[in-house]
Amino acid sequence: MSMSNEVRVGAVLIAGIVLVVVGTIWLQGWRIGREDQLVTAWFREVGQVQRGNPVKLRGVHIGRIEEISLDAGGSGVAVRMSIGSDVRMPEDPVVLLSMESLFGDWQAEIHSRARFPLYDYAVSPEPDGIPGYSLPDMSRLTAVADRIAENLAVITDRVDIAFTDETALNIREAIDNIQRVTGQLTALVEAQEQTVRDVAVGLETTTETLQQAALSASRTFSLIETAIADGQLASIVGNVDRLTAQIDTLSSALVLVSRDMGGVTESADSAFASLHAIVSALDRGEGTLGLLLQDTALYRDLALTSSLVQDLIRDFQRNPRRYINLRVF
Amino acid sequence: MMKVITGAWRAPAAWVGRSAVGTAAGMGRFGQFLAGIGHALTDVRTWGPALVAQMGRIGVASLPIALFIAAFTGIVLALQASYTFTGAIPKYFVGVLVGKTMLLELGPVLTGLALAGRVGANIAAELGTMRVTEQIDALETLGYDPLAHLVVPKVMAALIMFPVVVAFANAMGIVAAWATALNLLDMTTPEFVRGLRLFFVPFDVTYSLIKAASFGLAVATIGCFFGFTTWGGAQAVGRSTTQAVVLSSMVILVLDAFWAVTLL
Amino acid sequence: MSIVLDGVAKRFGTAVVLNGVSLEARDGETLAVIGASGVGKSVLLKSVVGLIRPDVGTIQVDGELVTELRRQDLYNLRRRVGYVFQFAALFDSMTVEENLAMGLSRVPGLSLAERRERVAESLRLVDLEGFGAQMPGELSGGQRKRVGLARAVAIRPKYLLYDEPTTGLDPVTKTVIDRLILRMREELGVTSVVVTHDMTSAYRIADRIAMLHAGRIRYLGTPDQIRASDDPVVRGFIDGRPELMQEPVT
Ligand SMILES: Nc1ncnc2c1ncn2[C@@H]1O[C@H](COP(=O)(O)OP(=O)(O)OP(=O)(O)O)[C@@H](O)[C@H]1O
Ligand SMILES: [Mg+2]
Repeated sequence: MSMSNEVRVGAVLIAGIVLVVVGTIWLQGWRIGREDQLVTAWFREVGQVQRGNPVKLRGVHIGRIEEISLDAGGSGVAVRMSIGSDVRMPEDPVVLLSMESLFGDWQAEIHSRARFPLYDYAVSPEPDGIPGYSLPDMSRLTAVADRIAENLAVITDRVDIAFTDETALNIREAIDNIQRVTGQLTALVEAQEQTVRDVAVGLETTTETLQQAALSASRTFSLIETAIADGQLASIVGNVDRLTAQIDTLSSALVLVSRDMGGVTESADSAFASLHAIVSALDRGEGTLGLLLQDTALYRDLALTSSLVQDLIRDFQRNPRRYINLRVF
Repeated sequence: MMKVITGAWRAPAAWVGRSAVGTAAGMGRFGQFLAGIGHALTDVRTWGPALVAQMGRIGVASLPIALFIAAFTGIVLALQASYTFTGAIPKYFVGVLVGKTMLLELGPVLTGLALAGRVGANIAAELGTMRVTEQIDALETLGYDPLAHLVVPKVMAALIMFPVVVAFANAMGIVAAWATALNLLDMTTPEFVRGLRLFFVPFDVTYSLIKAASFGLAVATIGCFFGFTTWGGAQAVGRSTTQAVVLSSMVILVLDAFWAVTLL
Repeated sequence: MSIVLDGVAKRFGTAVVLNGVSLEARDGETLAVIGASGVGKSVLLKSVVGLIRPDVGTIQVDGELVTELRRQDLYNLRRRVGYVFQFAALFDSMTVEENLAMGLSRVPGLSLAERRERVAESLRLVDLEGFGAQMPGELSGGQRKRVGLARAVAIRPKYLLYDEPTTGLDPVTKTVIDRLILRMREELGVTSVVVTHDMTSAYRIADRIAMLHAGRIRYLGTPDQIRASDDPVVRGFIDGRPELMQEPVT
């Protein structure tokens, strides 16, 4: 009786200790018996990265972040990572810190510098340290994009109300088309996130084209702004015309970004084409765009949207890859 | 000076005074009791042999109830996490929530509260009965220090076994949540485990065990104190038992907050 | 060696139980303490072994000052003192044998065989051979009382304190216990204090009888002296006439 009690207590005690030790090691990701190598990457700042975040190479989980420490001089951050000893580093390696998902978990990705040459990597003070770059937080961009999307929705609603004649119906149809296309684009981007990631290299080459297109678009928007302020209907019509052309350029740039988006951009093209037709009709004096100008609230929204679009474009220029990953409004 | 307190204020003032004196006296006695335990700790020859039996009664025998509570806690945690996270947040966050909540809070605290009832009441009732039937006096007359013989083994056993029981409870809760995630939430094992590991740091386990040990210490000392200081009959034993359970439950929650403030 | 109480007083809260008790149990003597229920006889007896600490006064046992002893010395002293509790106070989680062995395991230099022999012998003394494996809960009140007595004498103490050893026993067992108390004195030279209500028993075993009343020793004398006493309180108690014990307010 007393013996069996001793045996039971001993068994439970040992089982408890084993459970704690094994459980802790398991929750840390089974790193026992695996030979690890420690590598250090250097950053200017490390965003939301924490100890224990995964380290990936070509999308494969190969280790974890062990330690994050401020460099003695305070000019940089050293991130120590343990990775499997059998992992071979790519040629001229760099480390990118980025969000693994939208929910605050970050990751460190090891790449070859040739893959992302444009980023402004921190220089390692140690000979065997790896240069690193931390991608900016997406939340700000998301917020801007959301606000723009909201404003656009308001404007579309108002435009829906403002036009009652046949032209208005046409415009509404065109807007519906644009909305549908936007929806499709968003869905596509979400569904094809991985594909888009893969074509990010292609994107790097088209960044320049996009930047030019974006700049034109920005000019166009500011033209719209002044036109409305001056109440010059004719020039508005002209600008809308040019805007349509710029959007066409943008969408063809998107075609470069991803073959998979081809179908959708085609329908976008047709939507923009019908918008173009409507604008021509307006040009011939059919319809009453004047109604649009009488609504000062609408004007304000338009002006605000225009400036938000400019913000967005600036962000877009800085981080084209994150932007495409995130969403198309 | 005292003449200022007159009429209607006398009764409440007297009550406050009496309560304060009573509380202070109680604390004083508890302090003396603790000092006695500290002294008796050196007498390993007396409490050592009784330790294993107490570890069995306090620890091993508490496993079923602790595991039962932990299993249902785990199931509910998983279901409620997925309910809270509908749509917007990825499913593996169920694993994050279950792991963190179980280790940091619910594992130790729910187990602690359950054992405050089970172990605390048991200790207070046992010692209380021994006190009113003069068994503790009898021990003394036979040359035993009842603190070393009765109290220290229980306190040590609780100190050692609460963390063990809580470790099992944590594991049980996580496994139950895991099974729930697989069967009711359409999650996969890699998803759940990914969440579990995502924000895990070994300190979580240490924290859980430190809490558990402090709860064990509190439950056993308080149970022993109330049992030991019982005076009267069966009713007094009942009162001591209730007081022990209530006070140790409260102390568990206070300690819980204390550790959160000092360790996190 | 003897037990000497000097000016012992004890109160619980506002209730004064003992109020200056001075008493001596001389070496080898059996002293009976009588008194009404609730007068403080058990408190007095517990003070002797340091279970209750008096507020004032000193208690000397075996030449040592109980009231001043350090913890360890007190435990050492207690090994020389056997205590028979009023309600037996058996350890109810242990068998009868284990109860008896509890005290013996604290006696230095006893082999396991000797301890077994002592346990058996002590059970024989109280007529309970064959009950060794029983649990206290399975015994009658009288049997438990006898086990309590056996437990106290098993350690062969120099002093024995009995708290109502015969209360609740049948007349035959009572006589057996009384003889046992006498034997302890004769064969082992034990000094004893016996608290009792039972006058027949007191006359039979006691060398002297003390009566505790209103927190003090009211009377002290040999059995013959107390039988002849004309103190109304003593008479009232002995003859069971409470009206005599109501003292006029002076
Ligand atoms: N630990 C204690 N705390 C408070 N009061 C106590 C304590 N021990 C005893 N008393 C009180 O002291 C008084 C004397 O009790 P005691 O047990 O000595 O009586 P007694 O003479 O042995 O009576 P009886 O013959 O019925 O056993 C009682 O009123 C009791 O309530
Ligand atoms: Mg009594």
